[in-house]
Amino acid sequence: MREERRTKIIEQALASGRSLLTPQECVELLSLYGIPLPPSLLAKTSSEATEMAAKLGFPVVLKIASDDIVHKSDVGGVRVGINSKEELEMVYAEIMASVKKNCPGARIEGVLVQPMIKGVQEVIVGIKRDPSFGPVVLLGLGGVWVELLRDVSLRICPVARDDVLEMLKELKGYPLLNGYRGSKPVDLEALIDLTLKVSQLALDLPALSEMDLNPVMLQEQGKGCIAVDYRMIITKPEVD
Amino acid sequence: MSAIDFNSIFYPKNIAVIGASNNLEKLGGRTFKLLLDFGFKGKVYAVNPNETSIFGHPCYRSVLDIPEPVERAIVVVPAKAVPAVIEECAQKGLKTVQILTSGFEEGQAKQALRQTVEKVKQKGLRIIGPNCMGTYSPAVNLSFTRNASLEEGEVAFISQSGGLTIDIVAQGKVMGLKFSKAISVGNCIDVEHADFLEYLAADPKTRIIGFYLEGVRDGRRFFELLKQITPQKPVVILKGGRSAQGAKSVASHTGNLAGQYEVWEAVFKQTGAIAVETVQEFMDVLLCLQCLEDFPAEKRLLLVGNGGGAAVLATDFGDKLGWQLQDFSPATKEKLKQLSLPAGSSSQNPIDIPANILKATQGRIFTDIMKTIFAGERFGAVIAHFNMLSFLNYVHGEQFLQDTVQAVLAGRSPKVPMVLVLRSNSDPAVEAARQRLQQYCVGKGLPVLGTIEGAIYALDKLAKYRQWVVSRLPADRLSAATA
Repeated sequence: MREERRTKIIEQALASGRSLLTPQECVELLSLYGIPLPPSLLAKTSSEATEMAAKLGFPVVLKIASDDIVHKSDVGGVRVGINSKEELEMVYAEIMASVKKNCPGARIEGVLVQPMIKGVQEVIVGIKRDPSFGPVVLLGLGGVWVELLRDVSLRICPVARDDVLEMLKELKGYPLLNGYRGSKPVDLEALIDLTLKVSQLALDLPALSEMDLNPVMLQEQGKGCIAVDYRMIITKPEVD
Repeated sequence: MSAIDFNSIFYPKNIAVIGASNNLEKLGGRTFKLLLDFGFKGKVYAVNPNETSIFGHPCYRSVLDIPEPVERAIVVVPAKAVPAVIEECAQKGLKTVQILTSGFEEGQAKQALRQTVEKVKQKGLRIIGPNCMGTYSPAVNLSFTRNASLEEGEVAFISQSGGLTIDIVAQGKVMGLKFSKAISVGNCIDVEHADFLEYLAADPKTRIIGFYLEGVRDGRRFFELLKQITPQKPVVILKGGRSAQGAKSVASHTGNLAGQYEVWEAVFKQTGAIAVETVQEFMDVLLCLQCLEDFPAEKRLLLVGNGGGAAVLATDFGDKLGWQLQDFSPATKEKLKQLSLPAGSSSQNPIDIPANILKATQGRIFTDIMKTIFAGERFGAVIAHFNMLSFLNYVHGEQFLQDTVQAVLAGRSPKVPMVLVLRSNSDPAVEAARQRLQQYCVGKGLPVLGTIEGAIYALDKLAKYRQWVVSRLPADRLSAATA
């Protein structure tokens, strides 16, 4: 069942000539592997969005929902920290105007409404397919400084629990995860579990060439972690 | 596809040099002459349609004209002639061919060769190269350089660079690093790194494996093999192209952060392969692996020698790698005092013993100091270091140095690996003395390196490797190993 579903998603995307999977496709694939994601509801109108936000609880995030738009933030399609019904109505209108101006002709399905997820720490969990060694899993301190600080650790897939633990300990920022100067220790078990699932996903999907789960929000011990944003890139696997 | 006949690669009964020449200005001339001069133990055949005899040996028009079976060839003909020559080798029933010729990097020549390789594989012929330097196998007096030793050793070296193969084999001769075999594999159009790794894992003549490589074709296989082999045999990898950024990914952060060398670092961590970054480090680590029976079980270092400044700098370097020069217990210090070490030598780690103090006992005090320390202290490794000039400036200086080195050898403790550092200036006379001592010590299982930092670096790699092996041992053997 899982196998059928994931094959279908990849085949459809490849057939339509896309290399970037849509958020919906990502959600479906990641969910198949039990990777925790924030709830996400599709609203087609401003009032629908308000309803959903009330259901999820403020503050919320709005993201433009369109298969045609790759870099959503670049076109003003993502807004975070929306605190009230009034603010939401205004932001909704601004997003639509900005997207229409920057991407005229893009098909727009509506907006995705998500709760604002906060965490104790942000990390990145990623996959890259190396031409000679196959899928490589990456773990690093996430957020905006990820490329600047390059505090990351890599392993060839598959990885076992001990490997992930070793990867974590290699990070210079490891103390930050373990309760540094009064911050709360994060749920490392949940992060290890997520990393193992990512490794499995990479092995199962030969078409997956790159993936970012960034940021993955780490909650306090026992409260899990959530992949807040995700990006999956596929290429047709080479046949030997 | 046929299996690779490694005996025909490293222990051939005969070799045909296709493209042999009487002209020593040409590679074909030098290659054939070297086979003769180095005393290759098998039969040699010269092949060249334009000659009748080469250095006194009959020359055949084609490999097909050789009246006996042939198992191996070295091909030095121009690139465009290579495919036809290889097809003849397959027809003749050869097992392996090493193509020294270059010019197959891209385009038509590469395509043509690839097609030929696929075809001859079906007939049982396997190809090494192209674009390589040759094979060194002291067991059968086979070499690609005159500067190689005839002595057999236990280190196998596989190199993607021809020039480096020569450098390392020649440098090995000077250092006392002894090879079971070395081969320059070039572009690996057929037989590749993983194939050699698999062979060397089972090769009873090889105890230590070294690679220079820039990339591997079947990385996955190489990775899996490495993991299996390193608990039994150390594999040292000098990886070239570390700064190569490859194609920058704009699609994802991960694509950007996981560069080619970062991926290799993951390979090293997951397989226990010993990664080094320079030729010097490569040689140093191989030599220590060759000489030492035991590797550092802990990063506690004893540093003894002459040259206070050098010891201080080395202490700083060791600290960066996590090596501690812990001090001696009061009891040991007291015993050291009883040796009535004169002023100028210190009784703390690092121990500084100026040459004039060693001179008083012609070096023997060194043994006494070591025995005193080992009686009461635990160390993971010892580095003895001497500035040669301060010995050689004495009358009969070399004798003094030799006597001191004897005292060093006598001061070793079982299970505690020791490295000797002989610092020299580049004066030819000093270098010559250094090389004589180096050969002697290496023969006694004492590696001699050029710098204290180099010795710490090598010991650090060995400590890490030991830790890897121990972590792979089954629980019952583990308790024995750590006892």
